[in-house]
Amino acid sequence: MKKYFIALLYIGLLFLVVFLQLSLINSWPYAFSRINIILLALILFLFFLDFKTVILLALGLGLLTDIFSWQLFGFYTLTLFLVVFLADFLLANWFTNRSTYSFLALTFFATLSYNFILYGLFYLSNFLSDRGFFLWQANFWAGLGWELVWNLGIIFLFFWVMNLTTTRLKPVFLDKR
Amino acid sequence: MFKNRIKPHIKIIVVAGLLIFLHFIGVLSPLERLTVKVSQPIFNKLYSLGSDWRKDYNQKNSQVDLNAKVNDLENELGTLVVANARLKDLENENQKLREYLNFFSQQQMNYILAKVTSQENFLDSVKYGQNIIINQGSVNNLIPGLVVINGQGVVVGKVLEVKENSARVCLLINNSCKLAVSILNQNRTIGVTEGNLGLTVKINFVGQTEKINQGDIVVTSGLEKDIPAGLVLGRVSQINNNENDVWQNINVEPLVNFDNLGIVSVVLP
Repeated sequence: MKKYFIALLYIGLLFLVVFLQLSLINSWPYAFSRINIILLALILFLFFLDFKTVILLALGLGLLTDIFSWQLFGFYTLTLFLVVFLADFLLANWFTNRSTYSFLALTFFATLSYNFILYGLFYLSNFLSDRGFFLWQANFWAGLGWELVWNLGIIFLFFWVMNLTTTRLKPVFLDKR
Repeated sequence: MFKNRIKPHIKIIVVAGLLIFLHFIGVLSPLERLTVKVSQPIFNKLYSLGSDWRKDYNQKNSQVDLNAKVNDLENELGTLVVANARLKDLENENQKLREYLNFFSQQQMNYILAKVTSQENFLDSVKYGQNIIINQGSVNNLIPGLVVINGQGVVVGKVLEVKENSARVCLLINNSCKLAVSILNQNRTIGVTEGNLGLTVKINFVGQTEKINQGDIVVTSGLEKDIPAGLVLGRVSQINNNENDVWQNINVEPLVNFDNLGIVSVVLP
């Protein structure tokens, strides 16, 4: 029974994240609309939940976004999958688990990889249209800059608040004793 | 090592692939339709909350610059009174032209109201999302290419794609949103508009011989299938006619506030 309740809770959470991103945040003024809570939610899931649950949540988030998106179906699912596997690889091999610094580095790499993969797919699917290559567009880099600022800022704030209440997230690699 | 991390989760990846496949063969369509339909009221509510805040935010930003501009505006007032008189004259002329050519009056026009549910937001777009999503689709006889207007009957954009219960509309300021128009000058110059940097609209390839004045009204030409003639888009704000160029480029200032699009109308054929 508890299992089903948790599953329902996760489904509700996924819907909430997608609703907030697609209808509320996307309609905010320019700089604010660059907050990417789908990606932020996924990064937080990676730190707090087991990998299998994270993949299932990435699948849910991707499919839901694909349903509401006007791009080729599967682009968001594929991108989120790739980002999750890449982030997990970085987390397992490069970063010290659960320190603010690893969170920030992971957020940085996840944001970059998410946007490069997603816009790469958009570009490939619109190859024959007159849409220019995204990497040559100043707007893309400006947007990416804003997204990085927001994502890193929100993650930093989140962990600063968390560190006030728990010792689980203290930076492990700075402790030399 | 990367392979070892993927291996235990291969089942989930296969399920994802299967779900994407089922989407393309249409098996998931009923479920997707239901999800979209059930979600639309929530989307409407959240979108209107977000766009209200955007409107307030942009207004507040404008107020900061407002004081500095008051003096300039006072100086311009005299000029504007003259310009206003000229525009009223043009409006009368426009009205007469509409009557003369038997354009559709707003009452005669067949249209359907739609709510804006969300806005596409890509990193490579400029200020606005440039594409909006509305809550009417193919079940309401919407087809790609139909023109979308606001409450005052001013053109907002054009339907790009249609799903059963929703449609994707490109705004005039979107670079890929093109519309056949005519300028209400002496010759009724025709041309095609396209968005300019997500802020204004431009008309390219207008011959040097065409005489266009600042303030001329731009309307749909009626040369496009399913789009009636005479729907107002905006007015000419700048004319770039370098004598050495073959064409002159016209900048058009849209008469729509794209921050304030809650409800729009789609003009049906």
